[in-house]
Amino acid sequence: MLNIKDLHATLADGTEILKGLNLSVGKGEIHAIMGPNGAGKSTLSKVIAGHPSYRVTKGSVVFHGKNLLSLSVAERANLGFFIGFQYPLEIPGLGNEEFLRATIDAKHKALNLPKMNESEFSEKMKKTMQLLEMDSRYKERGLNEGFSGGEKKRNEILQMAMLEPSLAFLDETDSGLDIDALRIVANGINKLMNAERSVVLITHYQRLLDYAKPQFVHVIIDGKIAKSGGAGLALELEEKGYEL
Amino acid sequence: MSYDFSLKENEYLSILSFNSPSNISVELCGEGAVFEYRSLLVFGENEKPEQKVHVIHKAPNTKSFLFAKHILSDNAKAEFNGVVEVCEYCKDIESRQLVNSILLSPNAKVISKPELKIYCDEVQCSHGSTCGALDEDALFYLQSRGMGLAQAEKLLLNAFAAELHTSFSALPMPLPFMATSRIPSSVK
Ligand SMILES: Nc1ncnc2c1ncn2[C@@H]1O[C@H](COP(=O)(O)OP(=O)(O)OP(=O)(O)O)[C@@H](O)[C@H]1O
Ligand SMILES: [Mg+2]
Repeated sequence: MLNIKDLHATLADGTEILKGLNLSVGKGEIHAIMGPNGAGKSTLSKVIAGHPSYRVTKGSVVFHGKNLLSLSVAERANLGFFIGFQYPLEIPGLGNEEFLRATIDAKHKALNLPKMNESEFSEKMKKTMQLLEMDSRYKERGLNEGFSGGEKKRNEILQMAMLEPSLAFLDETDSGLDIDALRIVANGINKLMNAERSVVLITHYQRLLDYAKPQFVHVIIDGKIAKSGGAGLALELEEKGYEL
Repeated sequence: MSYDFSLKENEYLSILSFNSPSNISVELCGEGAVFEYRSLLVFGENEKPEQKVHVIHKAPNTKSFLFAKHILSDNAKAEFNGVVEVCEYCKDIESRQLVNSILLSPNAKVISKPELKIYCDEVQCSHGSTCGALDEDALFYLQSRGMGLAQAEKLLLNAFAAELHTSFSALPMPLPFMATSRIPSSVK
């Protein structure tokens, strides 16, 4: 469903961050991406999502048969791409529920689906928050406003579960989660998975991968995939570090 | 428009104003008096709204909070002048002012002129101002969830406006009438 070929991306000042990256993700797969700090993992997910800070200078990204790089940020999202941010922003004054409602409406409009009615929406939100063991008061609060690090990550998973993307890049969603939250979030990820959907977990730790088991593990070093393997690679890395 | 108020002991005055740049003068004459001013200005074209709020703390243990927000486009130029005076022998005064502005065009301008005239010690005064375009990362965050740029901008502007009654309050909870008085749901 996702095909990245020889992807090069630079910052506005011309500094190259992604230096010829190749990655394919098929339907129903869980991938893990690991790699040292500053290797380009977050940059990769933001480039795919269309962040304006980066310029693609070479290569291609095809998603569901479409040239993703020619689409707007919103079009990419509505085609089924989701990015779970490493550092979710706080937007005071925009209610969490109001925000989710607006994203669902935008998605339905883009896909020419009828507007989701109020009761269906609140039912879905309630169920999802229960699954993620989030107290209902998080509905009313400003988007991530004053949320703890772990709560923000859980809120990203809430957004993902509501939007039901076909491909989610979750950037260090496990960092900052306590042991219970990790299990809950992994449970949320597993619930979303089916034969049509895929997840790419960007992580530094094996812990999350114990719950959400990847079939493929990749290591990004200096803007490229330096090594790919099966689930065993993550264990090997944990033991030996990135000295490949 | 010009308004003058005088507050007696333990009186509380809260003004919530939308697009009405005015000249307001408030005297806090009795102990325990509190004045709170919240204003939102949304202007464009060649408009030049000017606001002046003059607070005089004439009694000890009085508080004033001035909170101004601007959303400016085109060549609009807004001026906020918050003057806080604390008279002699007035102890335990708290006064804060904050001016937050979003400039939607490179030609829009805001001038924030806080003035403090303090003739007494034991006074807690602060002022701050921020000013800039809509945050690029915030816009990206909303767009990454499927909404177009125009809608993302609109939500962020509404959020900015809504903060007028959710933050910077003198009270632990916003006043009930404030919670229900809505900022117009779409700012242009
Ligand atoms: N917007 C930006 N401005 C300046 N430098 C940037 C920007 N985005 C990325 N970089 C730089 O690009 C490199 C890759 O950053 P990136 O965030 O992708 O790393 P990462 O692999 O996600 O690291 P970590 O494991 O620490 O999260 C870093 O050196 C970073 O400083
Ligand atoms: Mg990162």
